[in-house]
Amino acid sequence: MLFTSGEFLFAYLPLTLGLFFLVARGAGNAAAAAWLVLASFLFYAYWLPAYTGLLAASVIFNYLLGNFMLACPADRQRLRLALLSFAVGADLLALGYFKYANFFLDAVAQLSGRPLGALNVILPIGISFFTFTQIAYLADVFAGKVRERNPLHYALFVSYFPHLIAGPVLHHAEMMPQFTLPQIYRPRLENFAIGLAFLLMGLAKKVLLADSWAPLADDLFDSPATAAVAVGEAWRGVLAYTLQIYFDFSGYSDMAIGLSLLIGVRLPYNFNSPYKATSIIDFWRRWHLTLSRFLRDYLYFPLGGNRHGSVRRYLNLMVTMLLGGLWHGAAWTFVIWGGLHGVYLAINHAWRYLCAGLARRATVEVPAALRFAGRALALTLTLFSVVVAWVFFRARSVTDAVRILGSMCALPAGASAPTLGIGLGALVPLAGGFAVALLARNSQQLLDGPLTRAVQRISAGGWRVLALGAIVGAEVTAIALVAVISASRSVTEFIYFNF
Amino acid sequence: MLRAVTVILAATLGSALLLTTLELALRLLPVQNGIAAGDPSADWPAHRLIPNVHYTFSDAWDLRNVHRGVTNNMGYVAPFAYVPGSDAVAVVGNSFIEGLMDRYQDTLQGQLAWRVHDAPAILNFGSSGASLPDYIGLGPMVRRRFDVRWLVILVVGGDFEKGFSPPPGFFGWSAAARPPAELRPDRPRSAAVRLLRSLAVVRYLRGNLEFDLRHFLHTSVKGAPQACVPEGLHPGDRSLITAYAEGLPAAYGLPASRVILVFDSDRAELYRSHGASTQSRCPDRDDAARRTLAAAAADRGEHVVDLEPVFARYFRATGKRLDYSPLDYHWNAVAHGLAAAEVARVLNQAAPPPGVDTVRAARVAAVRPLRR
Repeated sequence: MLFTSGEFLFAYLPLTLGLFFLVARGAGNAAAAAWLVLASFLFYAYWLPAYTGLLAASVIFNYLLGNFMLACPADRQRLRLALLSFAVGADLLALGYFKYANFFLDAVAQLSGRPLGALNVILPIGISFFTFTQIAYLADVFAGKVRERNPLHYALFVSYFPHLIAGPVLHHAEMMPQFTLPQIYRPRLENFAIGLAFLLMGLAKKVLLADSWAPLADDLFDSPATAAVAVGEAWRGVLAYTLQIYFDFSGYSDMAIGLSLLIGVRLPYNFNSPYKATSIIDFWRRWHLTLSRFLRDYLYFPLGGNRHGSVRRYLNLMVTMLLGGLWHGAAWTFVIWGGLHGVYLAINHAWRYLCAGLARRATVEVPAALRFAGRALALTLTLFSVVVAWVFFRARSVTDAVRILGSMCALPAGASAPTLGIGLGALVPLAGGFAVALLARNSQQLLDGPLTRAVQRISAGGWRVLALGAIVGAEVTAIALVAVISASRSVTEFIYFNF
Repeated sequence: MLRAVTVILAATLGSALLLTTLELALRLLPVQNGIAAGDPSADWPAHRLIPNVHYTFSDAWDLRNVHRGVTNNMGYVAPFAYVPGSDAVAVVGNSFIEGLMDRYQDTLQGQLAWRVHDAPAILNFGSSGASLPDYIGLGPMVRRRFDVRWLVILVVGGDFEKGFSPPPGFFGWSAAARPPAELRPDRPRSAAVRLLRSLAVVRYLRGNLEFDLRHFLHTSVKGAPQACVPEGLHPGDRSLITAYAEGLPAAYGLPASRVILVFDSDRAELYRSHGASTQSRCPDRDDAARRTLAAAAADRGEHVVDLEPVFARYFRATGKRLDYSPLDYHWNAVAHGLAAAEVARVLNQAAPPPGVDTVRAARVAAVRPLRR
């Protein structure tokens, strides 16, 4: 079920929330939490019922293993380590089978020169997300950081429908305690007003912006490998994809956050205007924040982080980014995308080190105009590097990516490329998209600032129920309208559903 | 309880306020207007638009490709009235022929009017939502009103399969009937429907966004992918197609040699392959049915115009698209022009029909300015 679909917004969601509050009122908070778990599994089952068992098995297995570790006496460290290794190994094995088996078979076949048959495996939607959140939980159990052990809250933390399919990658410590709060089990108009506003913003990003650029990007990236592509066409497609993936994924994240806010549960932010970044380090502090946090805490730091000298640091960065790339999908294109960002990060760290040295010795104050020009140059260079990497991220194969990059540099691969220019018709919306991405305030700035303040002001006023009720009514109508726009097109899934 | 009622009332008020604001805003914008089905009548029970209306067309949520035009006395998109009894080349098809997204003079029928030597009036019977059964079902109605000299039918992707689920006012497949098409009856619109049609919000939802509640509540369901049908067609489908090709000329009272079937190409594939291919990678039931129809029609002496090589040649030579894709795959003026040139070639090469010396006069009589 897609968040943008009519059946989700106007059947599943009202029914789930309505029953959640009714059950909480009639049968208590635990029963309401149980209903939300059940509803989340139903949400998952709507896609492919057969894999709901896999999700359930994963939740039960990891919870039990976590409990065994917690039950181990502190002096049985080796046993706890063995349990952790077994659990994480089993999780990675399942992930490896469903997501990477064919990739590895293909790689072995290419290396050995002997064709191997492919496995007929369908990727269970959201498997990367629910596997990683649980690995983090197990690692924290091992490290003694886990306090909350309620099985219902654990099941809800993993399967919670707003994040189940495409994140954000949640951390148990920020989610499970929220499920114990009594206020989330009571409907509040303020939560509805803010949650629906966020949902509407996310929906608009996805439907009005991302889906509008999707055909331009698909047009380029779905062209056959033999086709030659003109320069303007290549840039148009790549820039359209650059905007599409940002508004698609940040729109999805906003919708997830908004849905969760309807019951007053706050999900972590996932984006902070990444295209405003003035360096790649800055970019990764703004793009897919919850995945970056996961990779940093559970991969980069355990590898040693920056504690063993600069060479090890660059190596650790590279390993982290390569695996981060592979997390997105079982293809060399994702590995190269991760590797490119690893190289970018290494260069960026080296540059910073160099600049810090120069700054210490500098005696002259840099003029403001020069600083501004420097920032503009840094932003452009960062964006350009990100755009180049997106080509690998989106292309169907490395050959395709190289062909498209060649076309962007006016090096068409074929002899007779139809000379399609970028065209004003495409240029204006693309420029508009980048203006929004680069200049406008992002949704979390709106949520934490004027939106919350406005709702608080209304709440404090004498017409609270009437005013908030009217706002909610208008928001529901606007959401319906955008959902109808979405339905007027062919089905467009969220890009991160594939990961 | 009182609080809940207050919230519901307030929410309704908020919703109404937003819709009112939207209504006012949309009234200033070129949302679709005047494009609505006319009521069925005893002599023309099939779908057509409300006659003699100035319409505005725009596409999708962002109101792109705005066109303004008129429907004529028969409720079809043409800037002139159709005069009963006049000699005619009937051009039949779906939204491609209706041509709301193009200027009339750029359409196939608009271009045929000047490309064909000594042609009778070129009358189009294009309706958005029509499919193959409509093209044959309209025959007796058209024949009763006009002296049809030639029949031109445009067949596009989906034309076979859509015939199995016709909306009210359109013909659908009927294996029992001969010709194999049966009308799904329509009803006159009530006053409430007419009132709703006058609202810009409703026109935007129904016209620009093609809102349909059943579809809206099933948008996540992709359905099983279409099976590839590289070889033959199901016997039931084949017999429908055979009966169709057999009955088409008779439905319009014409010999087979006066029927021209024009087949569109898979332009999406043409662009995907950058001009290398026009063949679907995975031909489905509809592709197979259209191929079978082309063969059956040719066997019976009907003219078959295949636009695949024509479009491919043009695209390879110029790199320019033949439609408004990637957002809308309806033909643009170039595609209409190429198709018109092909059809005109057949019409101009054919021997003049009996009484041809009178047709110019008939055309002049038929092409009268529309009543304003």
